[in-house]
Amino acid sequence: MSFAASTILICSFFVAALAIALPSDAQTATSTLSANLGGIAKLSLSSNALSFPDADPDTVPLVPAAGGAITITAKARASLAATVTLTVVAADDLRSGVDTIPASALTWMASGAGFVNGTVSRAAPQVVASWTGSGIRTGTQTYRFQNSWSYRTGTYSVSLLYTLVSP
Amino acid sequence: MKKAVWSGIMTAVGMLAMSTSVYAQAQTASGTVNVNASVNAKAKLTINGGATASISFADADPDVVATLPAAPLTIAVKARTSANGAVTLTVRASQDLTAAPLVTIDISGLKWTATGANFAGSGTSSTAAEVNVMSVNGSGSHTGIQSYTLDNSWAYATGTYTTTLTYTLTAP
Amino acid sequence: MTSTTLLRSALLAAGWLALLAPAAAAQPGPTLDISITPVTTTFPLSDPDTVPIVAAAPVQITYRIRQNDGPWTLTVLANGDLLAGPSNVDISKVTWVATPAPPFQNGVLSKTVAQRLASGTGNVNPARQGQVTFRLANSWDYTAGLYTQTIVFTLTAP
Repeated sequence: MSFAASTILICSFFVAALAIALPSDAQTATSTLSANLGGIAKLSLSSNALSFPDADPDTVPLVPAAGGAITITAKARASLAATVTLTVVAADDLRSGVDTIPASALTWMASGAGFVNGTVSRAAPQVVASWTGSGIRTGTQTYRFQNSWSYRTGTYSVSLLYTLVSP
Repeated sequence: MKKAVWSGIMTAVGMLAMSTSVYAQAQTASGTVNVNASVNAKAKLTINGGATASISFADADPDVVATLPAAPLTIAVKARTSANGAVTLTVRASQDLTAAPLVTIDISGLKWTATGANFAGSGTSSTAAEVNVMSVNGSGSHTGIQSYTLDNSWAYATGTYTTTLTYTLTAP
Repeated sequence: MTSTTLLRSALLAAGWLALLAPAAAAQPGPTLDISITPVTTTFPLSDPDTVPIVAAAPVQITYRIRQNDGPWTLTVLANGDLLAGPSNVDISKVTWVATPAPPFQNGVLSKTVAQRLASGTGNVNPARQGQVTFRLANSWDYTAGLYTQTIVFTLTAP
Protein backbone atom coordinates (compact mmCIF):
# COMPACT_ATOMS: atom_id res chain seq x y z
CA MET A 1 0.00 0.00 0.00
CA SER A 2 1.30 3.44 -0.93
CA PHE A 3 1.82 6.10 1.70
CA ALA A 4 -1.02 8.14 0.25
CA ALA A 5 -3.43 5.24 0.32
CA SER A 6 -2.57 4.29 3.84
CA THR A 7 -2.84 7.90 4.91
CA ILE A 8 -6.30 8.11 3.40
CA LEU A 9 -7.28 4.92 5.18
CA ILE A 10 -6.01 6.24 8.52
CA CYS A 11 -7.89 9.52 8.03
CA SER A 12 -11.05 7.53 7.37
CA PHE A 13 -10.64 5.89 10.79
CA PHE A 14 -10.63 9.35 12.38
CA VAL A 15 -13.79 10.36 10.55
CA ALA A 16 -15.57 7.15 11.51
CA ALA A 17 -14.50 7.47 15.13
CA LEU A 18 -15.68 11.02 15.29
CA ALA A 19 -18.99 10.09 13.74
CA ILE A 20 -19.63 7.32 16.24
CA ALA A 21 -18.81 9.64 19.18
CA LEU A 22 -21.77 12.18 18.51
CA PRO A 23 -24.66 12.01 21.16
CA SER A 24 -28.42 11.54 20.18
CA ASP A 25 -31.11 14.41 20.42
CA ALA A 26 -33.34 14.90 23.47
CA GLN A 27 -37.08 14.34 23.20
CA THR A 28 -39.87 15.97 25.18
CA ALA A 29 -43.61 15.60 25.34
CA THR A 30 -46.27 18.13 26.06
CA SER A 31 -49.70 17.92 27.60
CA THR A 32 -52.40 20.55 27.71
CA LEU A 33 -54.06 21.94 30.82
CA SER A 34 -57.54 23.29 30.15
CA ALA A 35 -59.49 25.15 32.84
CA ASN A 36 -63.17 25.97 32.39
CA LEU A 37 -63.50 29.19 34.39
CA GLY A 38 -66.83 30.10 32.90
CA GLY A 39 -69.21 32.75 34.10
CA ILE A 40 -70.96 32.14 37.42
CA ALA A 41 -73.36 34.29 39.40
CA LYS A 42 -74.57 33.78 42.92
CA LEU A 43 -76.77 36.03 45.08
CA SER A 44 -77.56 35.73 48.76
CA LEU A 45 -79.85 37.89 50.88
CA SER A 46 -79.71 37.95 54.67
CA SER A 47 -83.51 37.94 54.83
CA ASN A 48 -86.33 37.03 52.47
CA ALA A 49 -88.93 39.06 54.35
CA LEU A 50 -89.55 42.72 55.04
CA SER A 51 -92.28 44.00 57.32
CA PHE A 52 -93.42 47.53 58.05
CA PRO A 53 -95.49 48.03 61.22
CA ASP A 54 -98.41 50.41 61.43
CA ALA A 55 -97.45 53.93 62.47
CA ASP A 56 -98.84 57.43 62.82
CA PRO A 57 -98.22 59.23 59.52
CA ASP A 58 -97.72 62.52 61.39
CA THR A 59 -94.92 61.22 63.61
CA VAL A 60 -93.50 58.51 61.34
CA PRO A 61 -93.81 59.75 57.77
CA LEU A 62 -91.26 57.12 56.61
CA VAL A 63 -91.71 53.78 58.30
CA PRO A 64 -88.47 51.80 58.62
CA ALA A 65 -88.58 48.06 58.08
CA ALA A 66 -88.70 46.00 61.24
CA GLY A 67 -85.58 43.89 61.50
CA GLY A 68 -83.30 46.47 60.00
CA ALA A 69 -81.26 46.31 56.82
CA ILE A 70 -80.93 43.48 54.36
CA THR A 71 -77.35 42.39 53.75
CA ILE A 72 -76.66 41.43 50.16
CA THR A 73 -73.74 39.34 48.95
CA ALA A 74 -73.20 39.20 45.19
CA LYS A 75 -70.62 36.81 43.73
CA ALA A 76 -69.83 36.95 40.06
CA ARG A 77 -67.26 35.59 37.70
CA ALA A 78 -67.57 37.83 34.68
CA SER A 79 -65.92 38.53 31.37
CA LEU A 80 -63.02 40.94 31.25
CA ALA A 81 -64.16 44.48 32.10
CA ALA A 82 -67.81 43.40 32.02
CA THR A 83 -70.38 45.30 34.05
CA VAL A 84 -72.04 43.18 36.71
CA THR A 85 -75.43 44.54 37.80
CA LEU A 86 -77.90 43.84 40.57
CA THR A 87 -81.45 45.07 40.07
CA VAL A 88 -84.77 44.86 41.92
CA VAL A 89 -88.31 45.08 40.59
CA ALA A 90 -91.67 44.77 42.31
CA ALA A 91 -94.01 42.09 41.07
CA ASP A 92 -96.96 44.45 41.58
CA ASP A 93 -98.04 47.43 43.62
CA LEU A 94 -98.50 46.72 47.33
CA ARG A 95 -101.85 45.03 47.48
CA SER A 96 -104.49 44.27 50.13
CA GLY A 97 -107.38 42.69 48.37
CA VAL A 98 -108.53 45.26 45.83
CA ASP A 99 -106.77 48.10 47.60
CA THR A 100 -103.30 49.09 46.42
CA ILE A 101 -100.44 51.34 47.42
CA PRO A 102 -97.95 52.23 44.67
CA ALA A 103 -94.74 50.19 44.73
CA SER A 104 -92.93 53.52 44.67
CA ALA A 105 -93.94 53.94 48.32
CA LEU A 106 -90.95 51.67 49.00
CA THR A 107 -87.56 53.33 48.92
CA TRP A 108 -84.15 52.24 50.14
CA MET A 109 -80.87 53.62 51.36
CA ALA A 110 -77.82 51.54 50.48
CA SER A 111 -74.28 51.13 51.74
CA GLY A 112 -71.30 49.30 50.29
CA ALA A 113 -69.09 49.84 47.28
CA GLY A 114 -71.14 49.91 44.11
CA PHE A 115 -74.51 50.12 45.88
CA VAL A 116 -76.88 53.04 45.24
CA ASN A 117 -80.08 54.39 46.81
CA GLY A 118 -83.33 53.99 44.96
CA THR A 119 -87.10 53.70 44.70
CA VAL A 120 -88.91 50.49 43.95
CA SER A 121 -90.78 50.25 40.66
CA ARG A 122 -93.12 47.67 39.23
CA ALA A 123 -92.58 48.96 35.71
CA ALA A 124 -88.83 48.46 35.35
CA PRO A 125 -85.98 46.91 37.35
CA GLN A 126 -84.07 49.46 39.35
CA VAL A 127 -80.32 49.27 39.83
CA VAL A 128 -79.31 48.32 43.33
CA ALA A 129 -75.60 47.98 42.59
CA SER A 130 -73.12 47.63 39.76
CA TRP A 131 -69.45 46.66 39.48
CA THR A 132 -66.79 45.92 36.90
CA GLY A 133 -65.36 42.44 36.50
CA SER A 134 -65.30 39.42 38.77
CA GLY A 135 -65.39 39.35 42.53
CA ILE A 136 -67.37 39.13 45.74
CA ARG A 137 -69.26 42.28 46.81
CA THR A 138 -71.30 42.95 49.92
CA GLY A 139 -73.62 45.78 50.83
CA THR A 140 -76.83 46.61 52.66
CA GLN A 141 -80.25 47.95 51.82
CA THR A 142 -82.41 49.72 54.36
CA TYR A 143 -85.99 49.94 53.15
CA ARG A 144 -88.55 52.56 54.15
CA PHE A 145 -92.26 52.76 53.53
CA GLN A 146 -93.88 56.08 52.72
CA ASN A 147 -96.67 56.52 55.29
CA SER A 148 -99.94 58.35 54.59
CA TRP A 149 -103.37 59.10 56.02
CA SER A 150 -104.86 58.36 52.60
CA TYR A 151 -104.13 54.63 52.71
CA ARG A 152 -107.02 52.32 53.30
CA THR A 153 -106.62 49.92 56.17
CA GLY A 154 -105.26 46.47 55.41
CA THR A 155 -102.15 44.33 55.29
CA TYR A 156 -100.41 45.09 52.04
CA SER A 157 -97.92 42.78 50.43
CA VAL A 158 -95.71 42.56 47.38
CA SER A 159 -92.72 40.49 46.24
CA LEU A 160 -89.46 42.09 45.23
CA LEU A 161 -87.42 40.19 42.68
CA TYR A 162 -83.64 40.66 42.71
CA THR A 163 -81.59 39.76 39.64
CA LEU A 164 -77.81 39.58 39.48
CA VAL A 165 -76.40 39.55 35.94
CA SER A 166 -72.78 38.61 35.25
CA PRO A 167 -71.89 38.98 31.54
CA MET B 1 -22.73 7.36 30.91
CA LYS B 2 -24.30 9.22 28.15
CA LYS B 3 -27.11 11.48 29.20
CA ALA B 4 -30.38 10.63 27.52
CA VAL B 5 -33.72 12.36 27.51
CA TRP B 6 -36.72 10.48 26.35
CA SER B 7 -40.42 11.02 26.59
CA GLY B 8 -43.50 9.79 24.82
CA ILE B 9 -44.92 11.82 22.01
CA MET B 10 -48.43 13.12 22.41
CA THR B 11 -50.70 15.42 20.53
CA ALA B 12 -52.90 17.90 22.34
CA VAL B 13 -56.41 18.09 20.97
CA GLY B 14 -59.18 17.75 23.47
CA MET B 15 -61.06 20.53 25.03
CA LEU B 16 -59.80 23.26 22.74
CA ALA B 17 -62.48 22.13 20.34
CA MET B 18 -65.20 23.10 22.83
CA SER B 19 -67.51 25.87 21.71
CA THR B 20 -66.53 29.25 23.19
CA SER B 21 -70.08 30.58 23.15
CA VAL B 22 -70.75 29.28 26.65
CA TYR B 23 -68.09 31.62 28.01
CA ALA B 24 -69.80 34.62 26.39
CA GLN B 25 -73.25 33.90 27.88
CA ALA B 26 -74.40 36.05 30.76
CA GLN B 27 -74.98 34.27 34.04
CA THR B 28 -77.82 35.30 36.31
CA ALA B 29 -78.83 34.67 39.87
CA SER B 30 -82.02 35.79 41.56
CA GLY B 31 -83.56 36.27 44.96
CA THR B 32 -86.93 37.29 46.35
CA VAL B 33 -87.94 39.44 49.27
CA ASN B 34 -91.57 39.36 50.40
CA VAL B 35 -92.84 42.68 51.75
CA ASN B 36 -95.71 43.18 54.19
CA ALA B 37 -96.95 46.58 55.36
CA SER B 38 -99.60 47.00 58.05
CA VAL B 39 -102.04 49.89 57.65
CA ASN B 40 -104.40 49.93 60.64
CA ALA B 41 -107.43 52.07 61.38
CA LYS B 42 -106.41 55.34 62.94
CA ALA B 43 -108.09 58.61 63.86
CA LYS B 44 -106.71 61.97 64.91
CA LEU B 45 -108.57 65.18 65.78
CA THR B 46 -107.15 68.58 66.56
CA ILE B 47 -109.00 71.75 67.33
CA ASN B 48 -107.00 74.90 66.79
CA GLY B 49 -103.98 72.58 66.53
CA GLY B 50 -104.42 70.96 69.88
CA ALA B 51 -106.48 68.54 71.86
CA THR B 52 -108.55 71.23 73.56
CA ALA B 53 -109.77 74.75 72.76
CA SER B 54 -111.94 77.45 74.29
CA ILE B 55 -114.42 79.90 72.90
CA SER B 56 -116.03 82.83 74.67
CA PHE B 57 -118.85 85.23 73.98
CA ALA B 58 -118.48 88.85 75.04
CA ASP B 59 -121.42 90.57 76.75
CA ALA B 60 -123.47 92.83 74.46
CA ASP B 61 -126.73 94.79 74.26
CA PRO B 62 -129.40 92.29 73.14
CA ASP B 63 -131.06 95.05 71.10
CA VAL B 64 -127.83 95.69 69.21
CA VAL B 65 -126.25 92.24 69.10
CA ALA B 66 -129.00 89.72 68.91
CA THR B 67 -126.52 86.90 68.23
CA LEU B 68 -123.20 86.81 70.04
CA PRO B 69 -120.23 85.62 67.91
CA ALA B 70 -117.13 83.66 69.04
CA ALA B 71 -113.76 83.25 67.41
CA PRO B 72 -113.82 80.45 64.81
CA LEU B 73 -112.33 77.04 65.48
CA THR B 74 -110.06 75.22 63.05
CA ILE B 75 -110.92 71.57 63.10
CA ALA B 76 -108.54 69.04 61.51
CA VAL B 77 -109.65 65.43 61.00
CA LYS B 78 -107.31 62.61 59.93
CA ALA B 79 -108.55 59.08 59.59
CA ARG B 80 -107.54 55.74 58.10
CA THR B 81 -110.32 53.31 57.50
CA SER B 82 -111.50 50.70 55.05
CA ALA B 83 -112.56 51.55 51.54
CA ASN B 84 -116.11 52.47 52.52
CA GLY B 85 -115.56 53.05 56.18
CA ALA B 86 -117.73 55.85 57.50
CA VAL B 87 -115.66 58.52 59.23
CA THR B 88 -117.79 60.75 61.45
CA LEU B 89 -117.14 63.74 63.69
CA THR B 90 -119.87 64.67 66.18
CA VAL B 91 -120.20 67.09 69.09
CA ARG B 92 -122.29 66.91 72.25
CA ALA B 93 -122.69 69.39 75.11
CA SER B 94 -122.24 68.16 78.63
CA GLN B 95 -124.92 70.47 80.01
CA ASP B 96 -126.88 73.62 79.31
CA LEU B 97 -124.85 76.80 79.63
CA THR B 98 -124.71 77.07 83.42
CA ALA B 99 -123.73 79.98 85.68
CA ALA B 100 -124.98 78.53 88.93
CA PRO B 101 -127.41 75.87 90.03
CA LEU B 102 -130.71 76.60 88.33
CA VAL B 103 -129.14 79.56 86.51
CA THR B 104 -128.89 78.22 82.96
CA ILE B 105 -129.25 79.12 79.32
CA ASP B 106 -130.72 76.38 77.17
CA ILE B 107 -127.96 74.78 75.12
CA SER B 108 -130.05 75.08 71.96
CA GLY B 109 -129.14 78.75 71.97
CA LEU B 110 -125.59 77.71 71.09
CA LYS B 111 -125.46 77.26 67.34
CA TRP B 112 -122.71 76.91 64.79
CA THR B 113 -121.89 77.11 61.10
CA ALA B 114 -119.02 75.36 59.34
CA THR B 115 -117.08 75.47 56.11
CA GLY B 116 -114.86 72.82 54.54
CA ALA B 117 -115.36 69.73 52.41
CA ASN B 118 -117.55 67.13 54.08
CA PHE B 119 -118.38 69.45 57.02
CA ALA B 120 -122.01 70.02 57.88
CA GLY B 121 -123.05 73.56 57.05
CA SER B 122 -124.65 74.28 60.39
CA GLY B 123 -125.88 72.76 63.60
CA THR B 124 -127.46 73.34 67.00
CA SER B 125 -125.79 72.13 70.17
CA SER B 126 -127.52 69.46 72.19
CA THR B 127 -127.07 67.65 75.44
CA ALA B 128 -129.40 64.87 74.40
CA ALA B 129 -127.63 63.56 71.29
CA GLU B 130 -124.47 63.69 69.18
CA VAL B 131 -124.69 66.38 66.54
CA ASN B 132 -122.96 65.67 63.23
CA VAL B 133 -120.10 68.04 62.38
CA MET B 134 -118.40 66.13 59.55
CA SER B 135 -118.81 62.81 57.78
CA VAL B 136 -116.99 61.09 54.92
CA ASN B 137 -116.34 57.60 53.59
CA GLY B 138 -112.76 56.37 53.38
CA SER B 139 -109.35 57.48 54.55
CA GLY B 140 -107.95 60.93 54.36
CA SER B 141 -107.33 64.30 55.97
CA HIS B 142 -110.01 66.98 56.24
CA THR B 143 -109.99 70.51 57.64
CA GLY B 144 -112.92 72.79 58.38
CA ILE B 145 -113.73 76.06 60.15
CA GLN B 146 -116.50 75.99 62.76
CA SER B 147 -117.99 79.26 64.06
CA TYR B 148 -120.23 79.28 67.15
CA THR B 149 -122.90 81.85 67.98
CA LEU B 150 -125.05 82.37 71.09
CA ASP B 151 -128.52 83.82 70.98
CA ASN B 152 -128.59 87.03 73.08
CA SER B 153 -131.57 87.94 75.34
CA TRP B 154 -132.75 90.38 77.98
CA ALA B 155 -134.20 87.33 79.79
CA TYR B 156 -130.82 85.94 80.79
CA ALA B 157 -129.83 86.24 84.43
CA THR B 158 -126.43 87.78 84.92
CA GLY B 159 -123.49 85.41 85.30
CA THR B 160 -120.69 83.59 83.57
CA TYR B 161 -122.15 80.58 81.82
CA THR B 162 -120.07 77.55 80.83
CA THR B 163 -120.46 74.17 79.20
CA THR B 164 -118.17 71.57 77.70
CA LEU B 165 -118.45 70.44 74.11
CA THR B 166 -117.05 67.00 73.47
CA TYR B 167 -116.07 66.10 69.92
CA THR B 168 -115.96 62.45 68.92
CA LEU B 169 -114.13 61.23 65.81
CA THR B 170 -114.90 57.70 64.67
CA ALA B 171 -112.96 55.81 61.99
CA PRO B 172 -114.03 52.15 61.79
CA MET C 1 12.39 2.40 10.52
CA THR C 2 12.10 5.28 8.13
CA SER C 3 10.34 8.58 9.01
CA THR C 4 7.57 7.79 6.60
CA THR C 5 6.93 4.49 8.22
CA LEU C 6 7.12 6.11 11.61
CA LEU C 7 4.56 8.72 10.60
CA ARG C 8 2.30 6.07 9.14
CA SER C 9 2.47 4.04 12.30
CA ALA C 10 1.73 7.06 14.45
CA LEU C 11 -1.27 8.00 12.40
CA LEU C 12 -2.54 4.45 12.48
CA ALA C 13 -2.15 4.26 16.24
CA ALA C 14 -3.91 7.57 16.67
CA GLY C 15 -6.68 6.39 14.44
CA TRP C 16 -7.15 3.24 16.46
CA LEU C 17 -7.15 5.27 19.66
CA ALA C 18 -9.76 7.63 18.22
CA LEU C 19 -11.86 4.65 17.27
CA LEU C 20 -11.54 2.91 20.60
CA ALA C 21 -12.31 5.94 22.82
CA PRO C 22 -15.59 6.97 21.25
CA ALA C 23 -16.38 3.35 20.70
CA ALA C 24 -16.33 2.93 24.44
CA ALA C 25 -18.51 6.01 24.75
CA ALA C 26 -20.81 4.90 21.96
CA GLN C 27 -22.00 1.93 23.99
CA PRO C 28 -25.82 2.36 24.43
CA GLY C 29 -26.88 4.81 27.31
CA PRO C 30 -30.07 4.56 29.35
CA THR C 31 -33.15 3.81 27.33
CA LEU C 32 -36.07 5.89 28.57
CA ASP C 33 -39.72 5.40 27.71
CA ILE C 34 -42.69 7.42 28.94
CA SER C 35 -46.29 7.73 27.94
CA ILE C 36 -49.02 9.90 29.37
CA THR C 37 -52.76 9.52 29.17
CA PRO C 38 -54.95 11.51 28.68
CA VAL C 39 -53.06 14.16 26.79
CA THR C 40 -55.45 16.91 27.87
CA THR C 41 -56.20 17.59 31.50
CA THR C 42 -59.39 19.51 32.12
CA PHE C 43 -60.57 21.40 35.18
CA PRO C 44 -64.39 21.47 35.04
CA LEU C 45 -66.50 24.53 35.76
CA SER C 46 -67.10 24.63 39.53
CA ASP C 47 -68.66 26.87 42.14
CA PRO C 48 -65.84 28.43 44.17
CA ASP C 49 -67.96 28.26 47.31
CA THR C 50 -68.55 24.53 47.14
CA VAL C 51 -65.43 23.49 45.22
CA PRO C 52 -62.57 25.66 46.44
CA ILE C 53 -60.03 23.26 44.89
CA VAL C 54 -60.95 21.91 41.45
CA ALA C 55 -59.45 18.51 40.70
CA ALA C 56 -58.94 17.22 37.18
CA ALA C 57 -59.21 13.57 36.25
CA PRO C 58 -55.97 11.76 37.13
CA VAL C 59 -53.19 11.62 34.56
CA GLN C 60 -51.56 8.23 34.25
CA ILE C 61 -47.82 8.15 33.58
CA THR C 62 -46.23 4.95 32.35
CA TYR C 63 -42.43 4.95 32.44
CA ARG C 64 -39.56 2.50 31.85
CA ILE C 65 -35.85 2.98 32.33
CA ARG C 66 -33.26 0.51 31.05
CA GLN C 67 -29.49 0.40 30.79
CA ASN C 68 -29.24 2.82 33.67
CA ASP C 69 -27.14 2.46 36.75
CA GLY C 70 -27.43 6.06 37.97
CA PRO C 71 -30.13 8.46 39.07
CA TRP C 72 -33.17 9.35 37.00
CA THR C 73 -35.60 12.27 37.28
CA LEU C 74 -39.01 13.11 35.91
CA THR C 75 -39.82 16.84 35.91
CA VAL C 76 -42.67 19.01 34.73
CA LEU C 77 -42.51 22.62 33.52
CA ALA C 78 -45.34 24.87 32.37
CA ASN C 79 -44.89 27.02 29.31
CA GLY C 80 -46.59 29.95 31.05
CA ASP C 81 -49.59 30.96 33.11
CA LEU C 82 -53.05 29.69 32.30
CA LEU C 83 -54.22 32.02 29.53
CA ALA C 84 -57.59 33.03 28.09
CA GLY C 85 -56.99 35.89 25.69
CA PRO C 86 -55.65 38.82 27.71
CA SER C 87 -56.60 37.20 31.00
CA ASN C 88 -54.34 34.95 32.99
CA VAL C 89 -54.34 32.79 36.07
CA ASP C 90 -50.96 32.36 37.71
CA ILE C 91 -49.73 28.85 37.00
CA SER C 92 -48.76 28.49 40.66
CA LYS C 93 -52.47 28.14 41.35
CA VAL C 94 -52.10 24.62 39.91
CA THR C 95 -50.75 22.00 42.27
CA TRP C 96 -50.64 18.24 42.06
CA VAL C 97 -50.71 15.16 44.16
CA ALA C 98 -48.98 12.08 42.83
CA THR C 99 -48.82 8.41 43.72
CA PRO C 100 -47.09 6.17 44.51
CA ALA C 101 -44.85 8.19 46.81
CA PRO C 102 -41.97 7.51 46.47
CA PRO C 103 -40.86 7.77 43.73
CA PHE C 104 -43.52 10.37 42.95
CA GLN C 105 -43.97 13.52 44.98
CA ASN C 106 -46.48 16.34 45.22
CA GLY C 107 -45.74 19.83 43.97
CA VAL C 108 -46.72 23.16 42.51
CA LEU C 109 -46.45 24.02 38.82
CA SER C 110 -43.92 26.63 37.78
CA LYS C 111 -43.30 28.41 34.50
CA THR C 112 -39.69 29.20 35.33
CA VAL C 113 -38.21 26.17 37.04
CA ALA C 114 -38.93 22.56 36.14
CA GLN C 115 -40.43 20.89 39.17
CA ARG C 116 -39.53 17.38 40.25
CA LEU C 117 -42.40 14.96 39.78
CA ALA C 118 -40.53 11.71 40.46
CA SER C 119 -37.00 10.43 40.93
CA GLY C 120 -35.06 7.26 41.57
CA THR C 121 -31.96 5.28 40.70
CA GLY C 122 -31.21 2.40 38.41
CA ASN C 123 -33.58 0.68 36.09
CA VAL C 124 -37.31 0.58 36.07
CA ASN C 125 -38.13 -2.49 34.09
CA PRO C 126 -40.76 -3.66 33.47
CA ALA C 127 -42.59 -0.34 33.09
CA ARG C 128 -44.30 1.17 36.08
CA GLN C 129 -47.16 3.59 36.43
CA GLY C 130 -47.87 6.65 38.49
CA GLN C 131 -50.94 8.84 38.82
CA VAL C 132 -50.89 12.62 38.93
CA THR C 133 -53.95 14.59 39.91
CA PHE C 134 -53.70 18.26 39.04
CA ARG C 135 -55.67 20.68 41.22
CA LEU C 136 -56.58 24.29 40.55
CA ALA C 137 -57.30 26.79 43.34
CA ASN C 138 -60.79 28.12 42.55
CA SER C 139 -61.77 31.77 42.97
CA TRP C 140 -64.54 34.24 42.29
CA ASP C 141 -61.86 36.73 41.26
CA TYR C 142 -60.90 34.99 38.02
CA THR C 143 -62.09 36.58 34.79
CA ALA C 144 -64.42 34.22 32.98
CA GLY C 145 -62.92 32.26 30.13
CA LEU C 146 -61.46 29.00 28.87
CA TYR C 147 -57.87 28.97 30.06
CA THR C 148 -55.19 26.71 28.58
CA GLN C 149 -51.49 26.07 28.84
CA THR C 150 -49.09 23.37 27.82
CA ILE C 151 -46.88 21.55 30.27
CA VAL C 152 -43.75 19.60 29.44
CA PHE C 153 -42.83 16.31 31.08
CA THR C 154 -39.11 15.49 30.90
CA LEU C 155 -37.56 12.19 31.89
CA THR C 156 -33.80 12.27 32.34
CA ALA C 157 -31.06 9.88 33.40
CA PRO C 158 -27.80 11.85 33.41
